[in-house]
Amino acid sequence: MSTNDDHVSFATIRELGRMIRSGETTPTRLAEHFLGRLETIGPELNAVVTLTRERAMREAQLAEDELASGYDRGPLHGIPYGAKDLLATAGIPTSWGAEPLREQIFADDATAVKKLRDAGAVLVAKLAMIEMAGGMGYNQPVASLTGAPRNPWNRESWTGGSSSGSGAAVAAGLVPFAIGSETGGSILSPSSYCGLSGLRPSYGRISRHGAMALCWTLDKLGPMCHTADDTGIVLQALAGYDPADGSTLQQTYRYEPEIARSSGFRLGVLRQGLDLVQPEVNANFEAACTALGSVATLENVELPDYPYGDIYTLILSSEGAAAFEDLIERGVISGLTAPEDRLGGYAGLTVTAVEYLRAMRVRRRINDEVDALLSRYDAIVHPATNTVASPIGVNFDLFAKPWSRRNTLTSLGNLSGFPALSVMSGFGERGLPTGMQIAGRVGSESTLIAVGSAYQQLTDWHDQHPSD
Amino acid sequence: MSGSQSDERAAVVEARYQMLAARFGDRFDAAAEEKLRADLAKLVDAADALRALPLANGDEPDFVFPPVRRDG
Repeated sequence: MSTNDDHVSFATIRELGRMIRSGETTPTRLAEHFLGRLETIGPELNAVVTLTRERAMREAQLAEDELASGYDRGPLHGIPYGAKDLLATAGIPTSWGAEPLREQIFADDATAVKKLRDAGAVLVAKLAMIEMAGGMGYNQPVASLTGAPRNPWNRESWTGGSSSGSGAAVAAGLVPFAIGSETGGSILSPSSYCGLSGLRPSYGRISRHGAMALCWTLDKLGPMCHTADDTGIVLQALAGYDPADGSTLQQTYRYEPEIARSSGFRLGVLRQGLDLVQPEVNANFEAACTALGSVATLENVELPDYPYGDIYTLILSSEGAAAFEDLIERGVISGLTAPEDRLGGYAGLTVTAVEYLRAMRVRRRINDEVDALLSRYDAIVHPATNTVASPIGVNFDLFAKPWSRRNTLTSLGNLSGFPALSVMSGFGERGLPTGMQIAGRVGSESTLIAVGSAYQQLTDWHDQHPSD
Repeated sequence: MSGSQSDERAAVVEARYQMLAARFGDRFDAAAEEKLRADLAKLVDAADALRALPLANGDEPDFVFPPVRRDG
């Protein structure tokens, strides 16, 4: 490859697209480059389940031929990516991160994978994840068939989850972008812990057909990238109504950065709960607010007072138990990696219908109040996670003391289905990244990306990368 | 929590544990039993917290039932 390898490894989608079209590189050379890094560095981070070499080279060659003939599918044409291993990929194992399901194979691609294929993107790997997307209640990082996911910034720390491999792979420059999923923080936490730009879109924005279901009313898929701008490019390719997933939004999504604002934003600053946030995370958040002050007006906001954690717990436990009922009944979960996960699904079987419905009734009230609050701002900002990544081998609850493990805005965002973008905001203890989340009304992804992009024009955290 | 509330909570947790034990008891050792009771207690507490929030008959759950008619 004629260009500096480090530049390629950490290049944005836009930059790689420019390099392809200028002839500096080709889709097949890019595929080989990233496959090589996945093969050598991926296992060191426990980031990869399956390398999809044969499929990747086939897709890369097709992209090359199409571009040479003048057929340009758009900004993802020829760009390699990784898919969290809960997305079905035809004929290639889809393990859900679970040892008992290591050889599980589906006949068809998930809709999200099909859409990326149609956009010309090149699937290079199925990426590691926390088993069952964390739905069995894991409380430490050794909770995957691939072992503890290692953070590229500090390999004695974990990546966050459940989109652990997606976080590691993008942060380490093993793929230019990855697809993750979030039920209760599984895009935002690895994005924050690994220093990425990760987007949890509005519920229903991206089809979940062919993706493992943990919790039907909470699950969302989303892009994890180097920049906010890249998340918009990927979102446009993935978004859209899918008759195979009745929850998908009828509204189309177009990412139009050329007409987006770069200043004049009205931001709400959520400072509730910052007393339960690590000091460095807090300091970096305040610094980020100061930076944003040059492109936005900021005012403090407060969230409506509801027991978000209790509502989330009841919904997740019962829907998760239902989604995995067969695996629980047959005792398959006894083969999961984390000891706590081998028992985690049982309690949810006892939630009564009335209890679940009560949670869903309170949820409707919350959603109406929250939308009214969010409608007053372009976005609300808050730390994406309350701490930096914990060390491998340390129980999460133990590490989080005296702070809080749960991030209220993340819990609320998942309950209400509104989108949030995590962007890197600096470094904390042990050389690990901190993140800020930019959250907004349902359907406001382009505004969140505009705020994130404006922040990334003012700072250079997103340009920082760990060494190999 | 009053004494009677605490007794009620314990009874509900126990009843739910016995439900699980009736179906899967051969899978649970003493450590598992302790973990399951703790998990059940968290869910019981969460449900109790939501029962404390007043709701009216008109407060519908946050999902829509879509009746289907396919013509042709």
